Amino acid sequence: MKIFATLEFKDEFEKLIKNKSYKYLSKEIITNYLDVSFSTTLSGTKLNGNSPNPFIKKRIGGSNGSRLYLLAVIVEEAIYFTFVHPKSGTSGYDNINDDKKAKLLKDVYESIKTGNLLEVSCCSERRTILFNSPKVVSIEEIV
Amino acid sequence: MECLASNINIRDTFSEISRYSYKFTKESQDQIINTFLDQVNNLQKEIRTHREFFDNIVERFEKLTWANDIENDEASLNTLNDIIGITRQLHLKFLKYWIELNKNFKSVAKTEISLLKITLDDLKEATQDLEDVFFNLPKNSDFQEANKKIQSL
Repeated sequence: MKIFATLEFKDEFEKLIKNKSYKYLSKEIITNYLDVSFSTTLSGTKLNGNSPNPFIKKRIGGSNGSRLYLLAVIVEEAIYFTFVHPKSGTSGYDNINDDKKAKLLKDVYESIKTGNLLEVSCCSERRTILFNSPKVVSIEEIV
Repeated sequence: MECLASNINIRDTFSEISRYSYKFTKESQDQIINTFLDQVNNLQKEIRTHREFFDNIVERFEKLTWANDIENDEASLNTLNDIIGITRQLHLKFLKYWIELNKNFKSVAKTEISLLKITLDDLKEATQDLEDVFFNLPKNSDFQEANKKIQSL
């Protein structure tokens, strides 16, 4: 399974984990997405009805924890983190509105099309999430 | 005469204190405390039962959003609309219950009462999500347009 993140996700995530109250986000994401099979990641609230590629809102860190928005592209067995927000604490809020959901979907599509994405992995101690620019292989390297 | 009256008074006072002392045993104290603790336990248990029920409903709502055959089925959509309506009524009813609990029993069931509020907030959110998925987002043209592109990937 390949895991990517949009730049907006990275910014939001890194801003949040600076706050001690949201440090759990790294562990939750590693446990729920980096250590599991692709099919396991397909849970939560599916926001886009019958569509084959699910756009998912997932509760992480328990009820009062955070909400993670991700897109799964089935044929590629790839997931794309698009947004995260906590429910409580200084940066917390209840929900995002439908226009924001539409924007997330539009932005992740543009990011996939332009390759403007970051690969998500974690450190060897499995404590920190790492965002890497996908390696661009030049035609010279292939030849 | 005065001395006799005093003696009676002293004896009565002695009897009264003795009776009270006899009644107020360790067992009677324990019984009162145990009855109170039982009631506290019952209240905590009742709150936990409500939370378990609502947690289960939230999970069922999430699973409903993965069903592929609902979107174009009028009867299912009508039932979903009823589910959303009745859950909102239930949420409101429980919010009033929670306000009463928080006002009167916070000192004896603080954690359970706080957790019940979180569960109720979750129920409210899950109900809104259900409405968004089946009734609001299908009418949101920006969302539908972006979703159409996403499905072409």
